Amino acid sequence: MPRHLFLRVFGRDIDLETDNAEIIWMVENLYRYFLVSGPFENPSVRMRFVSADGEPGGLVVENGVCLYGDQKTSLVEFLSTLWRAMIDGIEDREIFHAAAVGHGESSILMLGDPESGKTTLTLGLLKKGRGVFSLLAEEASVVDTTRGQIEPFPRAFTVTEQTLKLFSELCFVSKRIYGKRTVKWIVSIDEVVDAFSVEIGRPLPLSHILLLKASEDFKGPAKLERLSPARVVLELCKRSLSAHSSVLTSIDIARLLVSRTKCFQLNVGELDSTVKTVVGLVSD
Amino acid sequence: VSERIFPVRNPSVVAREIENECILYAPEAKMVYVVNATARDVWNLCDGKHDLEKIVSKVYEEYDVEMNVLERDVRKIISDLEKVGLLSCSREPSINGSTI
Repeated sequence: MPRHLFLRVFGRDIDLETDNAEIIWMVENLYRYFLVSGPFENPSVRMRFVSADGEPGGLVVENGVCLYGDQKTSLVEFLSTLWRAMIDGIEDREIFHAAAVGHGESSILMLGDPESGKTTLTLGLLKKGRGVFSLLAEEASVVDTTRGQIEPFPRAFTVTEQTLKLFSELCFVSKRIYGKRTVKWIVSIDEVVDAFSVEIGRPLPLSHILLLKASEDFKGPAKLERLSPARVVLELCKRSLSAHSSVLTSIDIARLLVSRTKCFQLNVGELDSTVKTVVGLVSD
Repeated sequence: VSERIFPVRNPSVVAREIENECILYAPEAKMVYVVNATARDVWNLCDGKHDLEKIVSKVYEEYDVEMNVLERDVRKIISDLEKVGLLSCSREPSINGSTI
């Protein structure tokens, strides 16, 4: 029997109907903090993922339109489509492929290529800085562009096996998903909060932007280097997930953010050293 | 410096200065470039009215550098910007110039 799941993401209401048990599990675990009791009177998006014949793929219907014609899509494709439906219409906020933590009255945005260590560092800061760092985001960070604040975006963590091995607190994690690039495990926000005794942060002004560069095998000491503001603008634009009408809008938003923050390249080393380096930086 | 070359900015390119650097966005190519302070100064002088010689002498006023080194750098900057379509070079001065 199809089920309806109701998601509210920064004022956007999504009514998702599906009969796929795996999708229900994914949405309930990845987006638990966005689930609300429905139904919505006028949802921003109505989506259906129908696989009535019991096959793993399904037809994706958005606002009455069959998105891929009569072609069935995979679970990964559907999750990607749902993700776009969630973030595309969000106004006055810029969404970056980045992790973020709160620190005191400010916040740190951590940019980097896939597998550069964003998730590991986020977990490392939450672990080492219990009571000091708060959880804001792991994969997608939402910046309120009018206030220059990072808002919490408590989507579940997706963690690689190597990262899991570094944190004995997460040894209980067993469920996994197949990502586009690598196999990743889902760690729900509740599991992160419980395992590291941390809190989900409140919106906090952005104070630091770190561009993570992975060293070979994440060995040796971490190192900080100053980054020019223009370079950071470029890096932010590259990692913007927001759907803008123009690149210039992205550039101008990034310029505004950079003008208010300290920007560094963080050459990622061993976890302890990397965490200490960041703690030292933000404690100055 | 002897050639009469008048570099002129591609009018569709948008520039945004950030501290000592400049971001140049070419909407047609959907490309974004970051240039340093010297290249930014050269770019700002590429209005189709200043020839290469004049650009070099103007930039020379701002930097403590040998003239021959600066001339080589300015030529390289103009050549690089031209290669990626951010400006073009003409043998004649532009009547209206270009605007940022």
